Amino acid sequence: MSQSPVAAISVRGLRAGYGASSILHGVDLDVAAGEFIAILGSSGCGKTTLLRTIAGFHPLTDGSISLFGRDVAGLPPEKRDMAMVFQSYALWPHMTVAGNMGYGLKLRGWSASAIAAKIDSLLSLLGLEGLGERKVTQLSGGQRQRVALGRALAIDPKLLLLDEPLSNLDAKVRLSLRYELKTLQKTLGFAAIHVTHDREEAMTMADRIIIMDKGRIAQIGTPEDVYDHPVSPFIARFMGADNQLPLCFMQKDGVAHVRIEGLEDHVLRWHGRPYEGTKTGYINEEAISLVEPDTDTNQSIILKGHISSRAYPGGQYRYSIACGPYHFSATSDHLFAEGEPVELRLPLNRLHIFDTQTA
Amino acid sequence: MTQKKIGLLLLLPALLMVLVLFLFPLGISMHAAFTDKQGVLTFEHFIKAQSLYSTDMMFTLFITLTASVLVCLCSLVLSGLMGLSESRFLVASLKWLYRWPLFIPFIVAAQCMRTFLAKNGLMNNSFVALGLYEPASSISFLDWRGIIITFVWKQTPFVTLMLAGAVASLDRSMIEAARNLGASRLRVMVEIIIPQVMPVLMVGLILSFVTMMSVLSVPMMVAGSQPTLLTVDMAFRINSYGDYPTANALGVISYCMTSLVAWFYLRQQMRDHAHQPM
Repeated sequence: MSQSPVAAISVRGLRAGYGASSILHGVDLDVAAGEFIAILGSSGCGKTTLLRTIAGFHPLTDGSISLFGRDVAGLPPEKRDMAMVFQSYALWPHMTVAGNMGYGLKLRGWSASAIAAKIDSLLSLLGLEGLGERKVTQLSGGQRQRVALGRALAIDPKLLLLDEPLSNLDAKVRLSLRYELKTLQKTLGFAAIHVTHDREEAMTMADRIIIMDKGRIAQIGTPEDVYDHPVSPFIARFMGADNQLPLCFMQKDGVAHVRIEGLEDHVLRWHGRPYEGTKTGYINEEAISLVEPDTDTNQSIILKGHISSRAYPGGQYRYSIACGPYHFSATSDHLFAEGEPVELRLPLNRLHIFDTQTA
Repeated sequence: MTQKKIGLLLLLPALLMVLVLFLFPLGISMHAAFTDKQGVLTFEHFIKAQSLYSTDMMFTLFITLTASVLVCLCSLVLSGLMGLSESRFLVASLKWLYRWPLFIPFIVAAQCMRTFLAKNGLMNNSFVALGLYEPASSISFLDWRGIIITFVWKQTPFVTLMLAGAVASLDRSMIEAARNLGASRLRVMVEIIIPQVMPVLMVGLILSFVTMMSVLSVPMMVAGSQPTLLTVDMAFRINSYGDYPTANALGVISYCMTSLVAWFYLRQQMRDHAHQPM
């Protein structure tokens, strides 16, 4: 990630909404030149509104947006010099592939020969050689999104806005295009803001991830940061820590212990950071392992339970395990029968502990 | 009974209606246009129609084509404004206003235009009151200009209705993609929207052209004098002379004019489809 003194885009106190209802409640965001940012959030969190407000398609009610130090908040979209790639491809069906890709250059007054040369290099860069004169309606979904990407890249944008560009594609094409897009971004060095609701997509592509919740930024950080150190139960759950258990911290004979509510026999020595009172722990299913009895239980919480259901999504088995009143999901290479007793190992360093939320 | 027979049976009422109410009278009028009293093939009615009304034929073509071009421009401007304007007030007021002429019959529109466009009508009086010109220099628009103005006023909403629907159904992000790359709204309209709604625009204009070709009340009430539209000539041949053969010959000439327009359109459609195997 190359840091430049002036941010590619700098957003301060951004507010926007539809009519009386407010969607964005003051968003601050800086993207460095050449940085790839993913905005992640569930539907209705304001991530698309944020992107559209940056692009100029949605009016802001307060705040500022500056692109390389230039204030663009008051400018119409055509004056902002950003390039956007849309979920629906948004190609123009009455033009050829080359017509679509060259349109931005035509608007900038390039000569026909210069446009043709630029398009040729883009076509080969995107693996679309020989398709320049095709109608875009004759292309597959993956090819169409490559054309849309080429159309955006043709104008050499300093900032590329990606509005869920991969979510209409089938899984295999999505994975390969994910990789290609990231490679292109590294090679060409533009800054990118990528809106997605796909956690894995955000994790694998972005230098930094922004998680939005109810029109606010809930956490900004590297993929490792947000995954390993979520700042709130919302983030923990959003990053896949769906397994919850209430923990009651106490001192017993001057030594820290933890009791798991509802599992009265589970009073364990606590080796982690010190806490007091009742908290809730969150943990990802990947972090939980199914152990043979008498394994080293150091730095872990071990729970006894039994397999309540099993699925095989490929590679590993996914189990639902009942431990008293709780259900945990976990994966394992081993085949267990339904109803078979197992022990769960919850490593303390993977447990995210927060104050228990009241509904 | 087989499914095919049931299908034919269901189709029969509609087919009969077309036969009895459209093809049969059309056949009779074509027959009358091309035969004399003895039923022998002749072109004398066409020669008569040509000698009496050749000016009106040109006049009809001129009026309907000019009005079509103006309807085309007006409806493009209106649907463009409604599709691309960022002023909510403008869009809402246009949407509310533009449809009104659709609900007003041609004869009422013609009557309104008489009081609006006359030498001492509302339009001239308003301009004089605004001090734009002296009362002495005001002129009546109740001639070919009046017919065109009435047609454009009456037909623009119809074409706009179709066109605005087509614009609204375009994927919004296609428009946004163009603006994002730096296209002004005018360029978006000309380079992105119009090429995509062209088929709808053409259908609207052809239907509108055919409607204008068949209106009798407007040329009669607004212009009155010669030259006039073929519809007025047909009514005159029948009402004053009972001259059905010449009226039928004029009718066939009107068919030819509308067919010519329809043929241009169909040929264009065929070409576009040949280029776009989908």
